[in-house]
Amino acid sequence: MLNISDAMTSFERNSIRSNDSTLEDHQVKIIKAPDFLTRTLYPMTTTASVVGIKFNNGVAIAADVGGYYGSLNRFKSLDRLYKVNNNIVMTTTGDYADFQYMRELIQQKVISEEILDDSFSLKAFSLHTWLTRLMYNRRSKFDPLWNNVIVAGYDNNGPFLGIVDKLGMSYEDSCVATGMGGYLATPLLRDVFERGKGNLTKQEAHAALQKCMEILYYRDTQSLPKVNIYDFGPWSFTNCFNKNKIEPFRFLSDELYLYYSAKQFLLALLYLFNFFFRQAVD
Amino acid sequence: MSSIGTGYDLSASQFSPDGRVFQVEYAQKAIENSGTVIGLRGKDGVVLAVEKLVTSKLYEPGANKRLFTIDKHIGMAVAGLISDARAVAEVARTEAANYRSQYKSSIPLKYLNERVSMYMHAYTLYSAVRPFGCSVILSTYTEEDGPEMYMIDPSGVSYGYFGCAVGKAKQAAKTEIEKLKLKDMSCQELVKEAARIIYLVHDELKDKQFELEMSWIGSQTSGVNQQVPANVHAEAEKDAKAAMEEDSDSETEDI
Repeated sequence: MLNISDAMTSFERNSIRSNDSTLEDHQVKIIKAPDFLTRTLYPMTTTASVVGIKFNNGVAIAADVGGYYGSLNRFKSLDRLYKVNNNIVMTTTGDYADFQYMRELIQQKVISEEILDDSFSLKAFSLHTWLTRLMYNRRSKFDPLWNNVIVAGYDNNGPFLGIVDKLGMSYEDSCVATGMGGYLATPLLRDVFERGKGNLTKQEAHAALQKCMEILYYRDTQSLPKVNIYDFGPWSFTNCFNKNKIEPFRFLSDELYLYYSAKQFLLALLYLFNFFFRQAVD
Repeated sequence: MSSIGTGYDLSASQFSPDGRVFQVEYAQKAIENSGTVIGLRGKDGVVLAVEKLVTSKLYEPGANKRLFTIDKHIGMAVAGLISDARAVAEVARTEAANYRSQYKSSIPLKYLNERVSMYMHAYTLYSAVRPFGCSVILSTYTEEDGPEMYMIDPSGVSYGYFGCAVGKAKQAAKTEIEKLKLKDMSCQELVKEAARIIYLVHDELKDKQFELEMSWIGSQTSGVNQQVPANVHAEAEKDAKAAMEEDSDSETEDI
């Protein structure tokens, strides 16, 4: 980000004409004002879709573990499902550094709240509102955090599932998805949800999420077939809710994964070879 | 007091001819009026206990707490002016949060102690401010370094302790603490001793009502500062009262 005072000084320095030897006395050098404040124009390390669905007595969300530089799969094990406290999990699609920044903000927020020792704890719906304000605030400064956020949780009011985009637009729904998932997974999830009359079992919800992630892997070039799923539900009547983290799930066996990777690698080689061959011909 | 009328006690930034800073000494006097606070550091944790004097029956129970949590892994007990103490707690919390945002790990007590004591010390240097009328005890427990405890004085001086006491009956409490084999004691034992000592040093005649506050941090709380759970607290308090009964019985026999 460009510092205002630096920009000002460089602007002023450039406008001093006297010691610019290339100019005649009567000439005036016209300098365009620099872009004083250029904000983040694109994300760097990005992460792919997140999908989430409510079921009969809980909520589950899923996200893969890939991190990308453009379409290059740069990181293969980014855990981006952040367990905020015993009843909230949040994650984002988009810039991973911005996710980390938000994660630290939330972490400190939770600690500051916990140490008051007043037996209140942050609820998913409050965090969702707070994140909406954060995102809206940043976009209003023309400096958005480059993420779409999903918040899932379970408390006395039942399951919660909400979404905030990078402009601060937010809503709650029984099925949510970000990124490519917004186009590909939302219809699928809604279909499953409506067929189950909004009363899916946990297993059905998991199956739906896994199916969505699988479809996303086949269509979205920037996603991995390794997925984390978190779910929340009432574990007992004591308002004690357990998180349940499923081991990273693979759609493909190791051999098949290797096969597809090798195939892609060979295709890439072929492409490169073709490219250089054409250059040589030209 | 010899200092009164000499004019050397008007500012925290002025020495008296014999090298004292009276404002700091007055701050220490303010602490001696408050309920006793003790800290015991055992083999697997630290227990803090406070004799919180209740000056009116009209207060809600549990009002004006003197035990704070600074970060998840740091506890604080305060003696002296409660509003000054809250300001110090807020500073400590900010420092802990700052450290976390910069280093992504929780602040070691050694560093927190340094920062808070330097902050308190700064308030003894200028004529525009007065020193803090409170003394704080900081406690922590980590896997690597085990239990740790520091006490900071209004002058900004701080030491690490195995056992410390501050407030009205600090002398009596210190004498009791010195009898304990702190290094071999577990938190469960320390809680009982802490409750007993607070009940023992409490002056029934001068201050009628008080609440016993206790917090602990150690391996049994997995390094998280907590108020002592209600059942443990109740049992320690019951034992403490029983010990007092016994004590007064034997005294009457002696007579």
